[in-house]
Amino acid sequence: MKTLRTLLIVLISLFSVNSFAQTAGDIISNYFENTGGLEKWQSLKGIKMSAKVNQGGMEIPLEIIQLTGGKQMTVITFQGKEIKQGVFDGTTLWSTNFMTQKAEKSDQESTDNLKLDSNDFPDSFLGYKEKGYTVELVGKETIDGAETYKIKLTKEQITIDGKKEDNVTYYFFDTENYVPIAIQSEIKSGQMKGQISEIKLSDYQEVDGFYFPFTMIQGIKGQAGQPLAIDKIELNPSVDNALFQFPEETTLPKK
Amino acid sequence: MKNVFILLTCTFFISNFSSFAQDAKTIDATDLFGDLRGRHIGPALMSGRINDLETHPKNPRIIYAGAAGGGVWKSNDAGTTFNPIFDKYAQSIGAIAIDPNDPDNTVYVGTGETWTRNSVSIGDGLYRTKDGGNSWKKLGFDKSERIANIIINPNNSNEIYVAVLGALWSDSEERGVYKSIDAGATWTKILYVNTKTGCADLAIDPKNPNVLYASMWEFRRTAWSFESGGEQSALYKSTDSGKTWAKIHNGFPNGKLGRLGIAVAPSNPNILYTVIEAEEELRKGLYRSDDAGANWKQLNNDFEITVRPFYFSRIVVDPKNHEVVVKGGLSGSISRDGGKTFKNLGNMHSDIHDIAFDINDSDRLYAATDGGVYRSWNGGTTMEIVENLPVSQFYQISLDDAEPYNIYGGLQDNGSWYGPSASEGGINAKDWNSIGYGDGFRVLKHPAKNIIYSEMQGAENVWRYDVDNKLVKTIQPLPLEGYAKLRFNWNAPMTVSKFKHDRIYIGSQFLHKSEDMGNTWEIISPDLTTNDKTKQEQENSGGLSMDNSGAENHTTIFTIAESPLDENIIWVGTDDGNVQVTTDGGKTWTNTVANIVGLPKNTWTYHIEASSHDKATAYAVFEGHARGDLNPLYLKHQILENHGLISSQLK
Repeated sequence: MKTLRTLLIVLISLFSVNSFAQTAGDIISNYFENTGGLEKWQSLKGIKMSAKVNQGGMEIPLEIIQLTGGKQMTVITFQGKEIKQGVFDGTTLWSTNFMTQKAEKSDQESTDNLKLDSNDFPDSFLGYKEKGYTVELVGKETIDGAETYKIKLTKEQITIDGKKEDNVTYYFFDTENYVPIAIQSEIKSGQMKGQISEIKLSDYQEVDGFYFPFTMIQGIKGQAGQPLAIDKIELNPSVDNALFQFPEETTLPKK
Repeated sequence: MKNVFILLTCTFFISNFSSFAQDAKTIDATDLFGDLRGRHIGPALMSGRINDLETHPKNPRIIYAGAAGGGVWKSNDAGTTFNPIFDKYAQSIGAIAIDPNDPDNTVYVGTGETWTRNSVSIGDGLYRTKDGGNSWKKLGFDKSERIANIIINPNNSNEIYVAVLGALWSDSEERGVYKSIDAGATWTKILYVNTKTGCADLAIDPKNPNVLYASMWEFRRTAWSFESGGEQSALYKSTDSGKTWAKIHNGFPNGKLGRLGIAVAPSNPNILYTVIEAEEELRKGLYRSDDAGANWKQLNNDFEITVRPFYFSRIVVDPKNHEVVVKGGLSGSISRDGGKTFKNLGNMHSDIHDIAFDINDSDRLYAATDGGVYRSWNGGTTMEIVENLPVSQFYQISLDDAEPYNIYGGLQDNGSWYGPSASEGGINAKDWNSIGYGDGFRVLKHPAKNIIYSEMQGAENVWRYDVDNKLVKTIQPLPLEGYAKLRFNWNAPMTVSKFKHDRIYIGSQFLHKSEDMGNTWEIISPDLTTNDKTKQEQENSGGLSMDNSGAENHTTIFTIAESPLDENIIWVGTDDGNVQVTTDGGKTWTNTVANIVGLPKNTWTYHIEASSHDKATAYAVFEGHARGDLNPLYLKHQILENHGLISSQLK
C-alpha cells in the first residue's frame, strides 16, 4: 500500500511536472530553481569569468566582467597588451582599437540598443514580466541530439539603421535539467546581418551554489563556432568603476 | 617570345609616360605600331583603385567613376554595368563634375589622381564633353598633374572653379584654386599659397554659390620620403565668389596642419565638416561647424577618421540628412549622429577614397575603393562589388612559352595573377587565376616545371606555387647574421635564370641567388647601392602622420638582368642610380653608371635588358619622376669589352 502510494505520488508529480512544463513560465522557474534558486539569482551583483579562446593554435586569455546595471567589459590579453572590447559603463559603449590601442566609442545606435539591456543582469529571464518582456513556448526541438523546449523571448524593440525592429531571441532549454543549451537570434547589424547567431552552452558546473555553463561555443547557426573555455567564475567581484569609463581624448584647444 | 616581351615593355613605358608627351620628340605609340592594336584580355575578376565617384543630379541611374589608372567609366543602370568613355586621354583621374544645368551632356574631367601614394600616376589637365562623353575637349591645366575638384556654379554654367593639387615630386606654380567666368575659355588663379602647397579639397555652398571653402595642403614626396603638412596648410573661406579668402580656424588645433577634407551639408549649408591632420595628436580628427565655418568643434578622432590623411581625406554628407556623415578610410565609416560616433562600413576591398549617395534614396550608396566600385542597398551595412570594371594596375608583367602563352603579373593592392593569351570564346574573368596577395609585382614562371613565383610589397613574402599539386611555400630571403638589415624595394626585382632552371635571383641592396627554387639563398654581391643613409629614413616618413608602410624604402636594387648569352654576366640597376655588372657570376662587381654620358647623378635605373645578340651590350631605362624630372626617358646601351667598360649613348 505504502509503495503503491509512493508510486502514485511519483507518477502524479511526474505528470504534473510534465503538464507544468507546457508553459514557458514554468520552464524558466525550473531553470532558476535548478541553477541556484530565484533568491540567490536576485541577490547576484556581478560575475567575472576568466576564459580562453583558441585563435589559430594560440590560446588567448580573456576576462569577462558583467555587473548589475549593465556594466560590462571583455579584457583580452594579446601579445602582452590588454585590449578592452565591449566596455559599457551604463552610458557609453566603447572598445580599444586594435591598430592604435586607443579607446573608440561605438556608434550611437549600438549604444542605445545595449542600454535597453541594462536591466538584464544577471539573466534576461529574471523578472522578465516586470521588465515587460514576453516569453512563449514555441515547441520542442532537438539540439545536437538533446531534446529541448524552444522558448521565444521578446524584449523591447531596438533601432537598426534608424528603423525600429523586433528584438527576439530563442532559448533552447534541455528537457531533462531545464538549463539552456543553445541561444539563437538574428544578427541585426553589420556584415553578418540577416544570419542567425548561435551560442551553445555546455559543461554546467557549480559555483557557490549557482550553476553556470563553462563552455560556450559562439558562431553562426549551422557552422562551426568558436569555443570559449571558462577556467574560473568569480561571483560578486570587486571591480573599480573607473575601469568602465571612456578615456576622453578629444580635448579643447590648448591655449 | 622575347620580342613580345620587349614590345610589351615598350608599350608599358609609352603608355605610362604618354602623359608627359608634350613635345614632338616623344614617340607616338599609334604611329610606331601602325595597325597593330592592343586587345583587352582582362583581368576583370578583381578591379582597381577608384579616385572619384559622381552621380547625375536628376537621374539616379547615371553614375560616373574615375579610376586612378583606367580612365572614366559611366553607368546608365545604377552601377550594374559600366562603360569607358575617356579611353583616348590621360587615364589617371582626379575629379569628375557634372554641369548641374546640363547634366545629360556636359561633364568635366580633371586628370591626375589625388591620393598621393608612392606608386601614383599623373594627369595632363582638364577636359570637357558636351555630348555625354562622346567627344572631349581639353581646357588647359597642362602642367597641373593632379586636379582635386571641379565645381560648376549651380546658377551659372559659365562660372567654373578648379582645385589644382599639383605636382607631388617637385615645386610647381600651377597649384591652387582657379576660376573661369567664360565656361573654361580663360582661367584666373584666385587662391595661391606657394610652390609646395596645393588645393586638396574645394566645396561650394549649394544655396549661396558666392560662398566657397578651400583646403590648402603643403606636401611633398621624394623617392625615399613623404612629407604631409606644414605651416601653409589651412582651410580658407570666400564669401565673394573667390575674390578674397580668409582662414577659418576658430577651434582648430594649434601647430602645423596637414591634409584637410571639407564638406558642406547639402540639406543645411551652415553645417560643415572637416577632417584635420594635425601636429597635435589628440586634436586630429573630425570637426564640425554649425555656423558656416565661424566656429569649429572637435567630435571624433577614431582610427578610421585619422588614418593616412594623404590617402583618405574625404568626407561625404548624406544629401538628405546633415547628421549622416561618411568618411573614407581603411574600411570607411559612417556616423548617424552628426559625427560624434562612427561605425565601419560593410566588408569590401580596403582603402575607401570616395562615397556617393543615391540622389533619391540614401540607403543606396556607392564606395570608391582600391578594389573597384562597391554598392550598398542598406546604408552601407553590407556592400557588394560592381563586377567587370577592369581598372586594375599592373606593376609588372611577364610571359611564358606555352601555346597559347600565359601572362603573369602583379597588381596594385589586388594580388598577383596569371591568365591565358587566348581562350575558347574569348578570355573571360574565370580564365584568370590568383597567385598571391597584397600588392603584387613580379610573377615569374619556372622555365620547365609547373611552378610560379610571386611576391608582395617589399618582398615581405615571396611565394613559390606548385600549380599541379596546389602547394605554396614562402621562400623570401631572411635576415642573415653578419649582414646589414635587408632593404627591399616596394617593387622588389626577381629574375629566373635562363641557364639553370631552378636558379632565381632577387635583389635587396644585395643580389641574392638561389639554386634550389628559393629553398636556400646565397648573397653574391656587396651592397650594390649608394647606401646613402640619408635616404634610409623610411620609418620616419609621412610628415604629421607617420606612415611606415615600406613604400619609401630606398637605396635598393630595382632591376636585375642576366645575360641570355653568358650566365656569369649579370646586370643590376638600383633606384639610387647605380648600374652594376658582374662578369664572373658575382665574384666581382663594377659600377658603370659614371660612363653614361649626360645622365644626372642618382637617376632611378628603371629597367635593364641584356642583349640577346651581344653579351657586351645591355639596354637601360632611366627615369627621374621621383625628383620631378618628367621629361627624359633615357634609352642607353653600354658596352663591356675585355672586362673593361666603355659606354655609348642611344638616343
